[in-house]
Amino acid sequence: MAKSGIIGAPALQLGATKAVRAGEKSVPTLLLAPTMIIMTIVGLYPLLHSLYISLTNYNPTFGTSYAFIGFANYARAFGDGQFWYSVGLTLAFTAISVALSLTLAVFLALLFNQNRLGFVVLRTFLLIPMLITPIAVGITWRTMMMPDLGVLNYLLSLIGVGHLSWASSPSSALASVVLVDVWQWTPFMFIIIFAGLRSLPKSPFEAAAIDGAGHLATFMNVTLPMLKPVIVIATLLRIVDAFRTYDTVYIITRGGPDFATDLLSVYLQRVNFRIFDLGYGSALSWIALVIVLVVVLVFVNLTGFLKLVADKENR
Amino acid sequence: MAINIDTVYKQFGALKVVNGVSVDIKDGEFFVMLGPSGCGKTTTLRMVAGLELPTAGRISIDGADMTYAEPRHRDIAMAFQDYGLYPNMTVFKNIEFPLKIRKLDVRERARKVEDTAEKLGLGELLQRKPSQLSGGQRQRVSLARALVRNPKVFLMDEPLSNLDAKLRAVMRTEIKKLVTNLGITTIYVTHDQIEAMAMADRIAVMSKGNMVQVASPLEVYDRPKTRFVAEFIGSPPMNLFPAQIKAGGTVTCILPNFAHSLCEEERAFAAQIVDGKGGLLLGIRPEHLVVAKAGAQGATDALVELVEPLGQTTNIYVSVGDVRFVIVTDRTTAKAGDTIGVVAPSDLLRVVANDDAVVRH
Repeated sequence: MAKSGIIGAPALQLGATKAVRAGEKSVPTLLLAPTMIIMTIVGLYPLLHSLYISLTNYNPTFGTSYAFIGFANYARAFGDGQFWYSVGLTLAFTAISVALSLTLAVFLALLFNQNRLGFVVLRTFLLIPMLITPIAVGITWRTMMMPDLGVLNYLLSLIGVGHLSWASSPSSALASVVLVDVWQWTPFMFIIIFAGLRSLPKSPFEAAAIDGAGHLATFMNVTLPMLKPVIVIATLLRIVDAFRTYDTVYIITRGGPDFATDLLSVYLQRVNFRIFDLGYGSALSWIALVIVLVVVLVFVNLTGFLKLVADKENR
Repeated sequence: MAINIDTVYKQFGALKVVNGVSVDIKDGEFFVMLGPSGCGKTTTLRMVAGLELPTAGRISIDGADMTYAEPRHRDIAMAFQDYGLYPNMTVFKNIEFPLKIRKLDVRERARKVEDTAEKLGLGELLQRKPSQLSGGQRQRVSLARALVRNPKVFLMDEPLSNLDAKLRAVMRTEIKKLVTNLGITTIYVTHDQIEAMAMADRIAVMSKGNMVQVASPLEVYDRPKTRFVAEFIGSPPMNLFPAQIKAGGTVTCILPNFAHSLCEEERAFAAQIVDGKGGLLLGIRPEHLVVAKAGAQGATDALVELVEPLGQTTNIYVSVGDVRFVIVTDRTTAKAGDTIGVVAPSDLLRVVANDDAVVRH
């Protein structure tokens, strides 16, 4: 007779006592406990600690003693022009990069949805940028974009396009890092949207064909609305991700030239780990977190994301 | 508009789904394709719609070759078995969509949508999304979206399969009325013989990718050409008895009295059936058998095995030796264990070909 279940919980049996039934309830708690403990140590504690630090003038280069200074760091942040410049730059970077990669990803997903010969292989190649370490991506692109030695300018010269300065000029540096970001992360959006496209039911498309809709009308009225939940999720993930872009940009430009690519993450790294002004840096990080939350909330509200989720659950 | 289907084949890989179907559907005709699952009826319909392309053959609508034309260039409307609704649009927008694509005036669109929705009992549901509807309601929306237009051809793929029995009967009448008033050629696919009998001008009974018999409902019922048709149509189905045709045209049957009552016309038909061994079947509908006294002149004595009183009619299951069949009659006093006489009236007894037989015309 089996006295216990496979996970050690008492098996249901006739005549089980109240204590046994109560014991079953503690199993989920027990199973969740290790995760909860680890998350508290490596997640919640540092987060709250940084909130505390942000209220101090802690800077390890001045020794280990520090004072509690209240909201002075936050007040200082509001007058920090360089910080708000970085915030603006990051918002612009995110908006342009996400919009471009979304458009490209939808276009690619539609293209690859046709079952042409060789598309399966090509599809795999398309995913490569996403799989490369960001550091390697940064180094590769930095080399390719060198104005005099880089392969990009060489290739452009073959088709008669003149010398571009890429990441080395303030006017084109942001565009250059956007290009790299789009190159690296379009595959991510593509794979999500492509999977979404593949999972759509066939019959509405057949109905649209019968109803007389052409390609564009079908896309606008049938494909796009049905894909919306997937597009919204992919975009949301990309927004959060683009907002904290650091490694590739740092490798390619280190925030320069002349602060042209001084994204929030690059600025935060400088304050926290070059100047070690940890109190102030923590405050800036918390403000950045709030900004991201606001951006996400605005996006969620604009797209009716929660309603989409609710609709799905009702089905 | 007339539809011409000319020796159309469809293969999916090695699987042959439609095997050389040919039929001419007349302008304004209500044509029903009837058959069990997998008989190729839906595939044939989808080829007329342009959703599948034939492996071989030719399909023309109103005289124009449409074999490979895109669905949207065929001017057809279709109701789908799995609805094919646009999940993001309300019922109203779903029904309106084909009119919107055709750039009809907004007020005209609204009038037509409301009109059609009213006829199909969807008036209250216009602002709902498909996800908020039951299967039967979705199916009616799919039907409404087809009926809202004035196409050359209506194609309906089991459009009533998800409705409950009562609503199905109502909708059957409603569709037939609507379509007849519009005078638009309709191809209707179903596996429900009652639906087929009730609605069709002509029925094509399909089996294994072939149209086995194409005829009016009563002709299909009264004179099924093959065993498949005889057994598929009617509930309970036609009683079939193994028979033989000898050289010289003599027909013998496992129940000799039945062979004797066979009329001249049927004997002539028997002579046209060639299946190598001269095998054929004698068939009679259960309700055409007449119960007589045991031992009566010309009657075959049969043992009653089971009596099913259904109210309106009664099913009597009987056996003669190893041969079992069923009689449908009014109320009866016969009970299990009784012996009764059974008479097959000669004008209602049919010769039915085996499925593999070739019929000489």
